[in-house]
Amino acid sequence: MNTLNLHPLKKVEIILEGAHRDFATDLLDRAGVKGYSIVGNLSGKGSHGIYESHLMFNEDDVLIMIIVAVPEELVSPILEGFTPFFEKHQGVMFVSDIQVSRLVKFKNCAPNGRWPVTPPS
Amino acid sequence: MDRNLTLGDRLKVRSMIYVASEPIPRFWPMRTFIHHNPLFGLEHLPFEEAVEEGCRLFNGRGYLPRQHYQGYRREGKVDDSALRRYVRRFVEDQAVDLPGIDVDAWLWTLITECSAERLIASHDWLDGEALAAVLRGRSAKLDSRVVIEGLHTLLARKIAHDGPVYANVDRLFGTDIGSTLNDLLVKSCLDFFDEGQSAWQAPGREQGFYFAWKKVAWRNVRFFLRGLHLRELLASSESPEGVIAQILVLLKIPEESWQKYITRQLTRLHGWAGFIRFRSMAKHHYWATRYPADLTDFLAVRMVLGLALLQEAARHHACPGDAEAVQDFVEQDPFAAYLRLELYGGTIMPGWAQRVDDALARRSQRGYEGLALDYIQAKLVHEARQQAQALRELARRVSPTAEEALKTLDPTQIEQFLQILRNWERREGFNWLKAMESHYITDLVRKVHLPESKPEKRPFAQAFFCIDVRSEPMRRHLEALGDYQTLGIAGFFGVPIGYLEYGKGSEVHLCPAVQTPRNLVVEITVELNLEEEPLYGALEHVLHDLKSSVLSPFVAVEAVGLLFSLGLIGKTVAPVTYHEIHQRLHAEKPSTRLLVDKLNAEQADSIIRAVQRAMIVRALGKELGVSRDRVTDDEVRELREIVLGHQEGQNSLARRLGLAAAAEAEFIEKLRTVYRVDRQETSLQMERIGRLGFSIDEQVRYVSQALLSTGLNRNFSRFVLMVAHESQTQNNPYESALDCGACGGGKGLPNARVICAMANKPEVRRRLAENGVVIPDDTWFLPATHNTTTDQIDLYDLDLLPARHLLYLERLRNGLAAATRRTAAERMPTLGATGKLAEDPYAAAAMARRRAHDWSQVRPEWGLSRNLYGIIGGRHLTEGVDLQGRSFLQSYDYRLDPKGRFLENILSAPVVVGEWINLEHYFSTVDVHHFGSGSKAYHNVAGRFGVMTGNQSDLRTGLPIQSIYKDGKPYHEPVRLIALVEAPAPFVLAAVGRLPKVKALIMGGWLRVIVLDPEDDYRALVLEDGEFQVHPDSGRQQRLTLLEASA
Amino acid sequence: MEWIVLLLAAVLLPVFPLSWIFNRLIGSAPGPWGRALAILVLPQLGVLLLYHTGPLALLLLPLSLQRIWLMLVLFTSVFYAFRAVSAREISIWSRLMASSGLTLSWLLVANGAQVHSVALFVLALSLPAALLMIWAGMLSDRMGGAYLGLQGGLATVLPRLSALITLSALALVATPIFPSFFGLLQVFHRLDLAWLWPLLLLLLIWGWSAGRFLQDLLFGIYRGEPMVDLGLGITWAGAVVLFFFALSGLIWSGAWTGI
Repeated sequence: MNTLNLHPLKKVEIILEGAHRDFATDLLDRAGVKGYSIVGNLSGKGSHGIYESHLMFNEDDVLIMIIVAVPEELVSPILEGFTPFFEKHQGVMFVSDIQVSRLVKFKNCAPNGRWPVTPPS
Repeated sequence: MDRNLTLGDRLKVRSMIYVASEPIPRFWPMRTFIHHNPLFGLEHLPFEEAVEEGCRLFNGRGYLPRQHYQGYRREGKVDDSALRRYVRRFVEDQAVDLPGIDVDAWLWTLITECSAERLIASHDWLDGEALAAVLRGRSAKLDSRVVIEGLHTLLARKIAHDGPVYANVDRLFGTDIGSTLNDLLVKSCLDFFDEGQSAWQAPGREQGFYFAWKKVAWRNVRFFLRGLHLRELLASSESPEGVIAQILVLLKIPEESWQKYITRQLTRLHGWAGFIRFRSMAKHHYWATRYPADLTDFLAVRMVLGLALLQEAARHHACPGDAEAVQDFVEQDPFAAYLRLELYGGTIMPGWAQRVDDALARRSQRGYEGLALDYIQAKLVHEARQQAQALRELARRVSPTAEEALKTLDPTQIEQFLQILRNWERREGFNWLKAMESHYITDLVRKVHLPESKPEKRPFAQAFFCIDVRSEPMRRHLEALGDYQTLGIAGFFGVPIGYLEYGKGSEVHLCPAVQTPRNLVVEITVELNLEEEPLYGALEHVLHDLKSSVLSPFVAVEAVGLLFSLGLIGKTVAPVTYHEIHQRLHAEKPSTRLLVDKLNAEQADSIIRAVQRAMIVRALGKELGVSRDRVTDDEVRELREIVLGHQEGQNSLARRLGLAAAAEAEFIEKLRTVYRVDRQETSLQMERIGRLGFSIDEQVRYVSQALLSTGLNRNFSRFVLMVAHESQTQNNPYESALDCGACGGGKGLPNARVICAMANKPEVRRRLAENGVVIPDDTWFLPATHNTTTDQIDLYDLDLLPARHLLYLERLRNGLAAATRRTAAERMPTLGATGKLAEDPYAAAAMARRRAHDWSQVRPEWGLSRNLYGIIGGRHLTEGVDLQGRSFLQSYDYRLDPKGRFLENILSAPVVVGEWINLEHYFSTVDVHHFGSGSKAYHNVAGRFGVMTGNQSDLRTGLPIQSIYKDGKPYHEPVRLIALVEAPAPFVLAAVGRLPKVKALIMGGWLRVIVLDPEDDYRALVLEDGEFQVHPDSGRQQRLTLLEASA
Repeated sequence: MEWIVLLLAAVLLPVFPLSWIFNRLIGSAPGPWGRALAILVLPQLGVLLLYHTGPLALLLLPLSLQRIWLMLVLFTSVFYAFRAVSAREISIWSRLMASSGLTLSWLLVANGAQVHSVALFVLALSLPAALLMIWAGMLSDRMGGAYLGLQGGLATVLPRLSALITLSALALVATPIFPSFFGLLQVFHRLDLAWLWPLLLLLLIWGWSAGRFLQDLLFGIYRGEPMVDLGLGITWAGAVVLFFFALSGLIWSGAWTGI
C-alpha cells in the first residue's frame, strides 16, 4: 500500500453577494486558478445585519461562497485583487492552510487569459 | 516608467473598474428597450442621498427648477400644509436665532414667490463682511490677507489633485482635450461595436476591443496627423490593465485616488460605458460572443488617447503633463492660475475678459498679481451687489420691515443666514417632491371607492388587460359600455416563454427582463410551404440590399431611385393608404397555431424524421435536380438511414438514376454537413424539442396562478379575453419602449395565445376544478391585442372558437370597437387634436390610425408618460373612477392568497417594474439632457443598438424630450410611484419583510406606499419617513362623517 | 508730396504696418457710437484724400513699387483676417475684419476704378463693422462685456440682438446679397489670375472666422441671468438699415460687375 503524499496549499473562501458571482469567478480565472466551487443560498449575520437566504425572483440577492484552493504565490494577488471590491461591498475572505493529495488538479499551467505568466514580485 | 506590474496589481485594476462601473445606468439595446431606473446602481442609498450622488457623478439635476414647482402649486397640485410642515421642521433643525428675522416667513416667500432658480448663487469671494457692508449701503472692501488664503482653498477645490489631469489642463489652458477625447473614443467605439449597420466592418474584431483597436491605432494616419504619438504608449504593456496602471503611474496619480479617478473616467461617457457593460455580461448576445469587449478595454483605450492628447497639448501650449506638475503650476503662481480658471472656465465677468485674455497672451511673469487683485476686488463687489439685490427684492415680498431687519444683522449673522438659505435650497427640490406626493396621495385616498356588496351578475365578457397605464382608459370605457368586467395582470400573463415565430430564425424571450424562460413555444403554420418565396418580397429584398452596396450610388440611382421615391412620397402624403397597399402586395401571413403541449419522445422523433425527410427532398431537388415526383417515400427513407449511418451500401435511388459512387458519396457528405442530417444534430434537436411546450402540471399551475392572483375564481363569463398590448409606430428607434415592458420590450400576443390554449384545454380545466376553480363549459378564453397607438383591439385564434360562441361574437366586436373609439376620443386631445374631436369618436380613431402610420411623427402616442399610481387590489376600488390613464392597475384579492405568495410575486415583479418605469420618466423629465436623451430630431441610430445625438456623441439613455415634454413644459409630472395595496397591514408587512430588495426600495423611499386595510375599516396607512401613519381622510367611518358634513 | 498722401491714405485705408495706427485710432474712440463713427468716417477720408489731391498718388509710383504695395495690401488682408479668428470680443473682431476688408480697396484703386466705386466699396465694408460696434455696445450694457464664448446660447435669451449681430457679421464677411460680396467680386474681376490665390485664402479664413464667431454667439445652453432684449424700435431701425443695405447690394451689383 502506498502512503498518500499530501501537499500543502492554501484555501481561500470568499463570501459575497450572488449578484457579483460572475465578476468574482472572472477575476479568479484571470488569476490563474484551475477551478473553484460555489456554495449558494447562505444566510448569516454581518456588520450590515442579519441576512436571510430567500430565493427571490432572481438569484441576485442571496449570499454565496466561492471556495478555491491555490498555491501560496497566488494568495496575495487574489487578496490584492479583491480589496477594492470589498471596500464597497459586503462580504469576507478567509485564507487557511490545507493539504491536498492530487496536486496536479490545483497547481496551474498557463491560465486561459491573455497574460503571460509573470513571476510575482 | 518601467514599473513591473504584478498579477496583484492587474487584478486590483480590474476590480476597481468593476466597482467603478456599478453606478453607471444600465443599458439595454434599442430593440429590447427596457425602462429602468437610471440610478439603479445607487438604489442601496436612500432616495435623497442617491439623487445627490447621482447628480454629482453624472453632472445632472435631480429636481425641476423652482419655477416649475411654483407652476404646479398654482395649479393646485401641491399640498401647502405639508410644505409648511417641512419648512418648520427644517428651521427647527437649524436651531439658529437671528434677531428680527422670521426665517419661516423668509423661506416661505422664497419658495412661493422667488422666480430665480437659485437665490444664493455659488460665490467665490462673498462673505458676511462684504455683504453686510453692501446691505448697509457701503462698499465692500477686500482684505488681501484673506484673499491669499481664500485663493488657495478655492484653487484646491477647483483643481482637485485627484481629478482627471486633462480636465484640469482644460480648465487652466482652454485646450479642448476633453471633448476631443470623447470624439475619438466614440469613433473607436462605433467602429468596433457596429452590429451590422455599416457595410464595411472594422478588422480584427475577434481579438477583443483593446487589441483590435491597438492594431489599428498603430497605423492610424488620422492620429498621426493630429500629432498623437501612440506607439510608445501602446508598447509599454501587453494587457489593457497593464496599460491603465502604467498610465496612472505616468500621470503621477497617488494610488489611493486610483478608484476615484477610474470612476470619473467611466462616468464621462456613461451611455457607452453602460452599453459595454451590458454587452460583456450578456452571454447570449450574438455580437458579444463573437467580438468580445469589456470595460477594461474601454478604459484602456480612453486612457491611452487621453495621455496622447495631453502630451500633444503639452508640446504645443507648454502646459503641465501630469498631476504633480499641475499642482506645482498652480502653487507657483496662484494668481495666474485663478485668472486662467476664470477665463477658460467661462465664469469671468465679461467686462474683464479681454483684459485678462491680453494679459495671459503676453505670458509675462509680472503683473498678474496686480491684475488678479483688481479683478478679485471687482468680482467681490459684483457678487456682493448681486446677492444684496436678490436679498432685498425678496425682503420686499416678505414684509415691509424685513429689509430693515436685514440691515441690522452683523456680519456673522449674515453669514449664518446665508448658510441657512443655502442649506434650504439644496434640499428644496426634495421637499417640493414630497409635498406634491402628499397632494396626490390625498387625492387617491379620497377617490377610491370602498366596496359595497352588489348582487352578482354574470358579465357578458371578462377581459384581462396588462397593468400598463394605457389600459386604464380602455378598461374604463369598456366597463361603461355594459356588462364587461376587466382585470389587470402583468403583460406576459405570468407565463414566461421563449418564442420562435414562424419565419424567424432565433428565439425571443417574452418575459420580464430579469427572468429567463425555460419553455420554448413554436409557431407552426397550417399550410407548410417550403418552396416558394413570394415575388414581391424577394424584389424588395434586392432593392434594400442595393442600398448598402458601395457602388450603387454611382450606377443605380437614376435607374432605381424613382422606385424609392414612390415610397417616400406615399409614406409622407398618404401614410395609411400607402401601408394598406403595401400590405396587400406582401404575402399574407398564413394562419398559424402555437405548439403549447409538451411532446413525448415518439412525437419528437417523428417530427425530426419529417424534417429530415423534407431536407433530403430539398437537397435532391437542389443538388441533383431530382424533383419530388420522381422519388418515392421508401427511397427517401432509405437515403435517410444511410446518411445517419444506420445502413450501408448503395441506395436504390442512386442505382435508379445511375449515379456514380463518388458523386453519391459526395451527396451524402453534403447532406451531413450542409443540410445537417446527422446523428449529433439529431440529438441536439431532440434536446431542443424537449424544451418545447409545457407539461400538464405546468399548464395547470400557470392558469391557476393567473386566475387566483387576480382574484377571478368564479362567475366566469362566456368570453374571457386575454388582451396583450403592443404599439405601432414607424421610423421610431424607441418603438420597443412603447411595447410591453413585461414582455421584455416585445409584443405580448404569443403569451396571450399560450395561456388561452392552456386554459381552454379540457384536461387543464378538469384539474383546476379539482383544485376548486370551476370554469363552466361555455366559457372560452380568447387571445386579443390592444394596439396602444390606435387603441384598436383585435381578436385572434377565432378559428378555434366553438360554434355557439360565434353568435355572440358580433356583440363583442361592437363593444370593443365602441370602446376603441371612445378611448381614442379621450386620448387625441392630449396629442394636439382640437376639443371638438373629443365629440367625434370616429374621427378620433382615424386620427390615431394616421399617427400610427406616419413616419414623420415624433410623438405617435404618449406611452407611459404621466404615470403616477400603482393600485394592487380589486377593481371595485377604482371602477368608474377617472384616473386619466395615470395608474398601473393590478388585480389582486388577498382572500385567495393565504400564504401571501401572490403578493410577493406582485411586489417583486410588477411593482419593481413599475418603479423602474416611474423613475425613468422622473429622471428624464427633471434633466432631459443628462438623464434623458435630448431631442429626437437630432437622434441618429448607432450601430443598430442605440441612438446618439448628432453624428457622434455619447449613447443616449433615457427618454427623449418629445415623449415627456409638451410645448417646452414637462408633460409628465415627476413624482415617485404611489403604490396602493388593498390587504391587511400585517399581511403586507410580512410579505415585504420576506423580500429584502423590495423592503430596501420601500424603506429607501424609492416609491411611496399606501396600505388600504380591509379588515380595519378600510383605513389607509401611508408610509412616511419610515413609519406608517393613518391618513385622516380614509376609513369608512370617516367617509360617512365627511358625507354627512357636506350634505 | 505723393508719399505723404500715400502714407496718410495708408493709415486711413489700412496697410501694414500703418494699419496699427488705424486700429489704435478706432480702438480708442469714445464709446461704441464713437467707434462706429470712426470706422465709417476714417476710410472715407482716406478715399477722399487719395482722389481729390491731384492725380492718383499710387499710380504715380513705378510699377515695381506698385506691385510691392499691392503685395503688402494682400498680406495685410490675410494677416488681419487671421488675427480676427482668435478674437473673441465683438468690437475687436469687427475692427480686425474691417481692416482686413478695407485694405482690398487698394486693389480697386490700382486698377483704375472710379472714386464713387471705391467709396461705395469702402462703405460696404465699414457699415456692417459700424453696426457691429453699436450692437457690441448694447450687448456690453447687458452682459458687462461683449466677449463671446463665455456664455453659450445667447440666441435663446436675446433673440433680436443676436439676429442683428448675426446679420451684420455675415454682411461683413461678404455673404451674398450684401454689397460687400459684390464689391469683392469686383475686386476679383479686376485682378489677374496670379493674384487670385491670396484672395481665395482670404475668403476661406473669413468664412472660418465667421463660423467660429457665430458658434460662440448662438449655440449652446444659456445658464446665466435673464437679460432684457432690445427694444422694438431699435430692432426695427437696425433691420431696416440692413434691409436697405442688402437691397443696395442687389441694385449696385449690376453696376459693379457689369452684368
